[in-house]
Amino acid sequence: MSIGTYALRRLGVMVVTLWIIVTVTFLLLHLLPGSPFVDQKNLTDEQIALLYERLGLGEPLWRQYLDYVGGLLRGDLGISFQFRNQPVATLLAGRIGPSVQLGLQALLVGIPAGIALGSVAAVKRRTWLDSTTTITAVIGRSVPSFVVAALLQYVVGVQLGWLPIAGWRGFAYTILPTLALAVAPMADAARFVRTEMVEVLASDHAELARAKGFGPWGVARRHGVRNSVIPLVTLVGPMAVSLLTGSLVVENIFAVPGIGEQFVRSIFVNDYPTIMAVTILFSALLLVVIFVVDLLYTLIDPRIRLGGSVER
Amino acid sequence: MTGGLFWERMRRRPAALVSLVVLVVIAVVSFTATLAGLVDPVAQDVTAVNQAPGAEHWFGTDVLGRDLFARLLMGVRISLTIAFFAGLLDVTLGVAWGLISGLARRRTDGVMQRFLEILGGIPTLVVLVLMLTVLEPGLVTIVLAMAVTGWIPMARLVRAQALRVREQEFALAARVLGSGRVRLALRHVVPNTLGLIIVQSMFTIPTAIFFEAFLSFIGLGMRPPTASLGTLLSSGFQTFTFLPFQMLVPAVTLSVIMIAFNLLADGLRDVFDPRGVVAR
Amino acid sequence: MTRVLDVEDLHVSFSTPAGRVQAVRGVSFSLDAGEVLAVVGESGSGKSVMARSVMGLLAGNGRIDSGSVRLRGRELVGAGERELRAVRGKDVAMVFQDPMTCLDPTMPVWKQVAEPLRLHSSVSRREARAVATRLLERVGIPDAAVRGKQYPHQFSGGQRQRIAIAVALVCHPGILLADEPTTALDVRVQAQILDLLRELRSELGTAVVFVTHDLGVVSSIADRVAVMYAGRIVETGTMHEVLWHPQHPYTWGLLGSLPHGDERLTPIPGSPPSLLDPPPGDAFAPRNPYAVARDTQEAPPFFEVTPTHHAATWLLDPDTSPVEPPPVIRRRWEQWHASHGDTGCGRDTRILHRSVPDAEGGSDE
Repeated sequence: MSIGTYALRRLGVMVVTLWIIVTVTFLLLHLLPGSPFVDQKNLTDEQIALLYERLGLGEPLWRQYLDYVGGLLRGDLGISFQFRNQPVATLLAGRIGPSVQLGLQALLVGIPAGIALGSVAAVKRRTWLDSTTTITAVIGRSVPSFVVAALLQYVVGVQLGWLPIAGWRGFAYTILPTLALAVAPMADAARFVRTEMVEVLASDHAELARAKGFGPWGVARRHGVRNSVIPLVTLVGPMAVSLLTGSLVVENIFAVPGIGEQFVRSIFVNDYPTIMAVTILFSALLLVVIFVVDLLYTLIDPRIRLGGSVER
Repeated sequence: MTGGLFWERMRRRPAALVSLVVLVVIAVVSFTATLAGLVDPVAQDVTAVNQAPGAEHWFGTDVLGRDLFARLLMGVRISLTIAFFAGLLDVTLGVAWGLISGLARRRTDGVMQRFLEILGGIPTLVVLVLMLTVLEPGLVTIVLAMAVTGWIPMARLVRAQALRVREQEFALAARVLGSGRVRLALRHVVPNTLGLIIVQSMFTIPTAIFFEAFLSFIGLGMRPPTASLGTLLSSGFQTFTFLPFQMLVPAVTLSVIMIAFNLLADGLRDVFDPRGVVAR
Repeated sequence: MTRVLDVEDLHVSFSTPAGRVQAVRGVSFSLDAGEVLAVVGESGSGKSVMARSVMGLLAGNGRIDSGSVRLRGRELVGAGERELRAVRGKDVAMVFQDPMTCLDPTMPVWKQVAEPLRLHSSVSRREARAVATRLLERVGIPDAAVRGKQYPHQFSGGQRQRIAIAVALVCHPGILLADEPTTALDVRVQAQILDLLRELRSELGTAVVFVTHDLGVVSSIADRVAVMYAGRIVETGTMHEVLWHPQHPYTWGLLGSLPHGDERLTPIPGSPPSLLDPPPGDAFAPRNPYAVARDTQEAPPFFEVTPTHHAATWLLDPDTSPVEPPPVIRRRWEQWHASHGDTGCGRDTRILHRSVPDAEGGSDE
């Protein structure tokens, strides 16, 4: 099918999925027994009644649903139960910055490092360098990011004192959390690039490059990397997912004022509007990233772009 | 694949073999020690609070004077149990769905496929968080939540294999002879796919272990005083700066288990799935 | 005539799980500027390996065991990798068999053509691009300024091979190694590529080693021919000599299996021997209907037919009784003699003087 049709289809699936998530989230959280208010006992009956009215909690379910969806489309995410004056949207908007910065930094550090590692492993295949990099990649993939975070914090922050332990008051504060989050993408990228590059280096056009007079590193740099990295784009989606997951804990460990930290806190205090909002936000973000990446891949590969069709 | 061939190939992959041994040892020790009452993870001893690792308490004690070694074994047992049952459910659900979808009529398969596409598009984290926010935290909930999210890759795999078998000649011959599709499924698809199923589940289990630790750490999973790897990590984290071992011990254990599972899964994949059909 | 390449007693082997395979077993030949030498043989004859060893481009498990490869006097065997890289692409270049896979799919073609130039000389990017564009135009890519920016998959197989030729010739190498460059192309395109190679050879004075299994191609491009079997050259001479006055039974077999009008194809039965443990005698003996007893024990040396034509077969030994070649070959010989008349070179060879009884009982002289 053509790119346009494919894109539309994927867009459709994305919208449907998001809608399902919104609906399920709404239903689940509204069917919960018990009062949504954190400190119920401190409020008088009138106050409770007022709040109910203000938050529209007395309306029939379908009405609340429509209101909610309508609100979503307008950017209104409700009022936080925890901070009763604050619209969730404002609350989250203030926290998006650090999370985005952390995520991007992690990718910018992790992916190039992974590509370099994987390339070295591929060129120096079957030497000790290859084994070491492969083992490092396995460890990076297996050890959860929050374990890495805690270790980094302890070793670098507490014992060595080189970098601040927690907080967000300058660039230095971002280094440790970035590293903690970057390990997983780096390991994934390294493994992937190694596999791809080994294949590319054995290909006919790599041999032609050698016949031109390039040595193994020259071939890897000029031809290997480009050919291996293009398919890497397909990994960005799952990477984004694991970055989001990781950010929840890493932000907590390093006291980064991001969305992840807020999310965990909201869970503890049962601040449902915030929980819902973040869930939907995360889902939307992930779905969009996956969708964009999917499309990007079909565009980046010159064979597909200029050939004009997508084979699925 | 015969048993002999399997072990021969495994012998050539020391990393996977060592991992297998390590995991078996860990599992056996943790299960027998805790079930047979050889260690006590709940006994509190206020006189021996927050002790560093030493002769009497090999890994030290926690804030309530409980022996950390015992709690660690308990934690490993609980995490492995969760992972095992979640994996079991994943396999059951996934294989069933995959078989039905792969061997059914085109329309049914199409509908089931759409369902997978959309359900699979929902990030695991989202589903887990939603389910665990709504339901009572506990062993059963976690197992259910992870089963709900983990069966989809297995379903896709089994469906693809079912379709493949279906196209083959002997399947057509069997159907001509009157074998029903159930027979086809059980006698042909499953045996051929067993290797791939094993590999896929080997990747599901560390994911389950990871999520349990993760969820418990942020407070959505098991809750203290239950000892699971996640809760141990969580309590350990609180005293991290001045009592690092309380977190380091479960951290290292978790890492070792994860690494071992990943290496084992990689090795098994080389043995059963040389063409890389299984997606992680 | 300047000598550009001298290969002497080259031995190349590969290590495989089963042992060392002797792929090239003592090959010698030389090449002058502007000459086209066709190296002909079945697959497994060692022809590709030999070509690749000239530039030292062997796979990881291959190595040159002994022998010499001299490029304008400079010894390449035993040279360091760095030295070889300086030579590859610049003094010796290669064109590969499969045009569909030999170009990088993610790089515009002009860049791929310009690469050797940028690597081996210090021309600027702009200048290299200009040279590449001109060369693309020369090899027959129309509108090269625009098309040069395109990617390989936007070109047909024949065009890709032209691009590959441009890549090889951009630094004006003295030697071009062509490893079955037309095998993967259809006949019409084949002819075009051969024409192109011929023109370029004249223009640039490049010597060409043209490896092929297709004798039909040989006649349209080769000056000289070397026939290889089981890692050795069995016959070598000018194109006319080898194609029209062949002396080695293997060459007879190859020519006999060429489709020619309404004659039946007679493929050579059997297959080449395993080169793990090469036989001591003539490797072709088991399949050779004209084999003599000596063939199994002792490999025949080269016998001179003319100063330019040599064949390694005991049939040319004075002590061997004469044999009648197959009818196809006999006809070729007749044409050969006809075009040479009673004068010309090679009159002092045994064959021409010997009276060879043919099928009808007459003699050929």
